[in-house]
Amino acid sequence: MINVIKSLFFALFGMSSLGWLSILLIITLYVGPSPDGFLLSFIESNLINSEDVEQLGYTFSELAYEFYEYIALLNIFLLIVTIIFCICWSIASHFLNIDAPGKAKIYFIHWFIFSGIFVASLFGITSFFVIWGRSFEVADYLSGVGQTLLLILPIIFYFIVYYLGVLLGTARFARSSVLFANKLPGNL
Amino acid sequence: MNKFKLFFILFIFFYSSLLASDEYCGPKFEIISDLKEIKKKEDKKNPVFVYFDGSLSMQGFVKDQPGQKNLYRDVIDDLQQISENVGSKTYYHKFGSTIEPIKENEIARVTKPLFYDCAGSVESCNNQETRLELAFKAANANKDATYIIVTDLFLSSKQLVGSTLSSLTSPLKSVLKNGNSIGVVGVMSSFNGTIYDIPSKAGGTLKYSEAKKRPFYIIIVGNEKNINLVKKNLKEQHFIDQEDQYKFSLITSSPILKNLNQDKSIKENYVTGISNRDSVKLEYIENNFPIFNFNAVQSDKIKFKIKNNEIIVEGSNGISNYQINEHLWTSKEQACKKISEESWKKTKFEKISKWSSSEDQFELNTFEHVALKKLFRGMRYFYLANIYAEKPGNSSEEIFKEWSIRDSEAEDFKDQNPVEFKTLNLSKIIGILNSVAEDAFEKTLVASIALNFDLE
Repeated sequence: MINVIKSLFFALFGMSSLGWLSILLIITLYVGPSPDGFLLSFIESNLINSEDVEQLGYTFSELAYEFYEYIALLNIFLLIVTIIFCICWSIASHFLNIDAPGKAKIYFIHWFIFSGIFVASLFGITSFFVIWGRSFEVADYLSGVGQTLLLILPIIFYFIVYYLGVLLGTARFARSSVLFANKLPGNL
Repeated sequence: MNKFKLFFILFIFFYSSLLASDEYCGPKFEIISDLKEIKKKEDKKNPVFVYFDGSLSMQGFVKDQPGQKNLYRDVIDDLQQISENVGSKTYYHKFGSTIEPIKENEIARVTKPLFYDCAGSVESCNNQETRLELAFKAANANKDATYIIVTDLFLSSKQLVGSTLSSLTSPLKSVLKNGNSIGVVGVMSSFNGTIYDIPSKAGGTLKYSEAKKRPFYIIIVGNEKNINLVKKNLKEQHFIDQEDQYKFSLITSSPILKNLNQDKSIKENYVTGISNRDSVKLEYIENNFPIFNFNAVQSDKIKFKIKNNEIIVEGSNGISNYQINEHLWTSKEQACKKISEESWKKTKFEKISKWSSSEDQFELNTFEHVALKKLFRGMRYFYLANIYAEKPGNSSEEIFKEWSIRDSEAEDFKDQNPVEFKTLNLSKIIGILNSVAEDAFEKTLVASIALNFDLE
């Protein structure tokens, strides 16, 4: 049991190495980014269809509040799913039936499928927010480039967060099932 | 008593809050209230002046042609009665190179060949040319009267250029500017005579006597009501058989019947293509301005339709071009209570909708240039459109085209020995009338509407 708790601690530590960025982003979006800051100008120039906004007689700052909430909500969902998947694997890795040398490598397939499901879940969430989610009216503000970025960037980021989590959180005897996890020092 | 008071106060409170919720909460905009009144003439009967073309070419209409129906004689016989239906007193004239009055008891002579003969020398005769401009000039004398001109409209090209043309068009322009119209009834009738002044390629003129049928024209100058009355009488009394060929066109500088806002003619079903039909509510605000309130979705194809017979004068050329003066406002606030004047933002779209017009109706395809899919959901939109008739139509040119022949084609046409002879430069003459009508036409507001909707 102690090993499981240790694993969870390591998993959270691994995730937090990059995950703090996500939390910071969520908080910043709820507070409202600085009007002259990088975030606002990044959103305005890369995610928003500025031409449509301007044609409708608005400036982005007038519509930004709802949009920030929308991006923050998307990140909350992605973060929760990432944490759940990472913790699940970290716990499950302790219960893998590895009773012979080299057997852990067989579980690489399990990890690969599990990670595939995780990526698919991330894609499902981003797609729901960006393309299919009719209830997210602010999604109309997105430009074509913005839609693509919102579909791909969060998947890459949260997969790295997840990977860092499982890298450290996987049970020591099952490390061979996770890509490059066996390269970690033995005393970790 | 106290309970009654309490009930009364509560009733007033709820009723007033109910009324308050129905208050107009759209953006501020200018309602075009200087609606051009469509001039309605008094029903008082005014004189009718009838002008008969006395040129020799007309003689063939009064001679029987075996196997052909003579509509000319029948029509002329009844014209006296039709004129009396239209006006108070009828005055008859004959025109050729000059205008001569005809006594009432001599009218019967019009249907006899003798009327078109001339005993004197050719130079002194009044039957050698058709100076239609004299009749048109006379038609400008009394703007309340109705003028009926019976002619074969056989005008050579030289009569349709320069000073002769301007003497033909300037009285017509005045007629149209006075709010009157010109009705042209073309009737194909039997013909047994000679057609003169057919231009030859060599430069002179030719005659033709083999035609068995030929159109004549009744040009009616006056108010639309009288023109339509004359046309109706002629149609009911003479153009009964299927083989009776006749054509009609009303050329007017005011082909618009009315502004639909004037008498609140616009109804809820004028707007179509809204999937949430139950949400549509039409309200009229000041100056009879209609606002359609509803909920829309991005896939809606909202159309505003008007039946042509509601706005266009029957039988007229109609409208060939409309102008849509349109604006769109948006508001982030959707609830009427929360919307203030500042909530509305005027969009920068210049072209939003596209109009189309068919024989039966005018259609404004709203959000055709700027699709609803391009607009953001979760907002309220206020679309304002002023629909103007910008240019009158010219469908009459097409109507009369088959009876027309150009100067350059006249000799070849004659050489084919046609049984049915065409009218020289008819399309040109109708075109001239149309262009005069276009000159006298003023841009007219047909309807103003607003669409106030939430986009879901």
